[in-house]
Amino acid sequence: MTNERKAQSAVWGLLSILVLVVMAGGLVDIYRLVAARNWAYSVAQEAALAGASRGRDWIAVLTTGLIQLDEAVASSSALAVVTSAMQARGIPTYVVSIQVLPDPFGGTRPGFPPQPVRLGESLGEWSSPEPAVGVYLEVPVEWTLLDMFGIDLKTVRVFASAGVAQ
Amino acid sequence: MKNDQRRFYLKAITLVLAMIPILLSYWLVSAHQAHPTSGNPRAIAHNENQSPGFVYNGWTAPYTGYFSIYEQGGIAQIRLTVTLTRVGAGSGGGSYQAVWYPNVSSLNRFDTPIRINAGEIYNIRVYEQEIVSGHSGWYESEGWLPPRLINLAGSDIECGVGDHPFSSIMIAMGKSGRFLTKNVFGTYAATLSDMVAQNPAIQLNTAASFLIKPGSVAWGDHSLGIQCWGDNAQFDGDWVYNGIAYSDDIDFEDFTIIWAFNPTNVSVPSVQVQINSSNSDYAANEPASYVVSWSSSNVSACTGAGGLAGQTQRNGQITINSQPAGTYDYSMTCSNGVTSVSDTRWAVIYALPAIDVTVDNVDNPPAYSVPASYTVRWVASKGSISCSGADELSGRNSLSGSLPLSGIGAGTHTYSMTYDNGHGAVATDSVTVSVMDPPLVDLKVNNLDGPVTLSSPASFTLSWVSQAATSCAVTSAEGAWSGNKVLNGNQFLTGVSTGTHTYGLICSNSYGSASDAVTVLVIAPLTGTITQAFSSLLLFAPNLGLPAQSLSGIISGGSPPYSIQVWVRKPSGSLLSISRNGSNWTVSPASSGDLNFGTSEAGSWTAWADLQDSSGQTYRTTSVVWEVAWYPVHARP
Repeated sequence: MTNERKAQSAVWGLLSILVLVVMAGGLVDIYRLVAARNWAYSVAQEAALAGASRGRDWIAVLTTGLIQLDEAVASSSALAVVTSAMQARGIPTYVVSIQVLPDPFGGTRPGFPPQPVRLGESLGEWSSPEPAVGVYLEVPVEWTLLDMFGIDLKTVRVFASAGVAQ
Repeated sequence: MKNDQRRFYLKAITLVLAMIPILLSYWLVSAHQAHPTSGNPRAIAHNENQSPGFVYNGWTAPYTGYFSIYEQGGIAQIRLTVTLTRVGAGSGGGSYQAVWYPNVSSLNRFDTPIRINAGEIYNIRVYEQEIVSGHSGWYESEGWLPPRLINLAGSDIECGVGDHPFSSIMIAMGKSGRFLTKNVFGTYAATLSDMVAQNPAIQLNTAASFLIKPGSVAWGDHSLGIQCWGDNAQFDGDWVYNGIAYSDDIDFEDFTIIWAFNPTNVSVPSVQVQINSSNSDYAANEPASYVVSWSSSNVSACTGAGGLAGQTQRNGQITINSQPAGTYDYSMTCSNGVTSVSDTRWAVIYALPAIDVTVDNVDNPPAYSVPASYTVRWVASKGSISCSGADELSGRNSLSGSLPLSGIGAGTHTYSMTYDNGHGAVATDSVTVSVMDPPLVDLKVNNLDGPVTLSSPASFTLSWVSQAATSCAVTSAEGAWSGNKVLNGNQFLTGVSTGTHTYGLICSNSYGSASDAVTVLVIAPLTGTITQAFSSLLLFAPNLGLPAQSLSGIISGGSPPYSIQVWVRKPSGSLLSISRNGSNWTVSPASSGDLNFGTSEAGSWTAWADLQDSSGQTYRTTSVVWEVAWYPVHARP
């Protein structure tokens, strides 16, 4: 009995250790997920600001008196930031979508961002009252332990935008 | 010592003895050279004066005939002027002058046409004259004395002074010797022979009675019929004593004159010059025309002089036409080979009087305006000797004068002066001056003579004042400015459009007219614009390679040149002033001196311009505003 009990205790102990290991691995992966999201957001935010800043159309100010964005310049500038950041992290696969609202009074871009990126934010109805650049970024995150439990590859989706004050 | 004293005294005595003959010879030579023996350095006085020459008063003619003169001696020419003035009743006498050219080696007889009647009494005057080398004209250059000794029986008629040291003194002085005495009996005898030969009525024993001489003959008697002529030292000057030249000389060799008369008719040469057939001199006013004629008798040749120069005929005439003023002589000299006679007529041609009256130095003065001031001048020339003013120069009688006048009233003023030359010729000149009182008019616009510049639509007042006018009328009609006007007045004109408007007025009276005009330049009102290049600009845009602000403006109307003051208010409220000129102006970053012009502050910039034209018009443009902003980028939530 005592041996059984000892055997049962060992089993339970082992199981408890396993549970603790799984719990620790889950916590680590959760942390990695949060960190990856924060990093991806900061990349998207930086790209949006770069696109809005470098995409300001000064000639339009002289001609119309209103600031607007050069869509091509803004997009390329934002993309360059994302590409550079991905290369720095060695992330070969990622999804980026950049949209520009060039008009002086912004506008609405339906269906953008393509995936929900935050709580409480509806899917795909990005709008801005001023010229703005929106950057949607999907970055894959590898699990430390959770993939042993059959949890699929996790993807971080972030969206950031920047505008030009009129 | 005694021997030395003896030798000294011996030498002194020898020297004194040697000086004695030297001093004595000097005294002897100087005494004979310089001192006449009489002690009087003057030579013996004799007749050497021009007057009275040979004088014989109260000579009773023993026979009837003609006055003649005999001469013999070394003289080439002689002019004698003979006058026989009859004393008491009778018909004889007269005056005659002739130039003779004697034969120097034989007896010469000078006949005259002076008639002598037996029993008539005459006062005789004869002047002898010669041409002397170095002197112009005729001179009585010889002195004369009657004979000092007459011994007809001894064939001796002695001329001169006889024994006198004069000749020896002259020789001692190195001069030529003098003829102190000369026997002229030969001349006397030849004269008598000639009288007998020439006149059958004269016998040799009566011939002497035809000589003109007094009953008694005495030393120094001027009336003696024989005269011995010699040098007149007036022209020699070689009789010097103690360095002084004396005017007397004694040298009686020259010639001998014997006064006589001829009982027969004589054929003396004569010539007569006449003007217009008159023996009197001629006088007339210029231009004179007259005939000068001459006739001669008993002559072989004639030579004209003066106005007859070149004439050699013995008889003839010339016609003078349009002779101007002057004194002209017409002389003709004729000669029979021995006797030369001449006659001269004078023509005095008087200048015509001439007078020139001027006003301000012109003969035809322009019209003057009251109150007139001018100067009347008159001047006589040529033969004017008296004058008489007339019209407004009445009372003036000077040969020339100047009369400044002032304050002369309107009207016609005549200044006349008449001159005569005292010989019947009269000249008159006059000048007429018109003094007018033309009207005056003064037209002004807004009390200015103009031109006046006004903005359209313009309103102004034309005013005018006239003097001495009887009527006034518009000369440049424009709008309401037309027709006749009152003599003094004003007219207000309004709504005058843009352009140059001239308003003229002429006022008249009987003397003329006067006009005046004013010009009004009506211009469009001054206006202008201001424009900015950009209504929105970036803060410090040039730093982004973008342009800064530029302002420009255009001015119209007004009267150039224009001056522009551009004002720029920054967003901070401070004012910037920039000066410009011209009808098109700009303010660029480069010309303003601020490459960030209009972009150095964010916010609203405002600019406007104050315009001014040359006439003083001002205009402030509307303001332009531009915004300068910086467009920040921010992250959107």
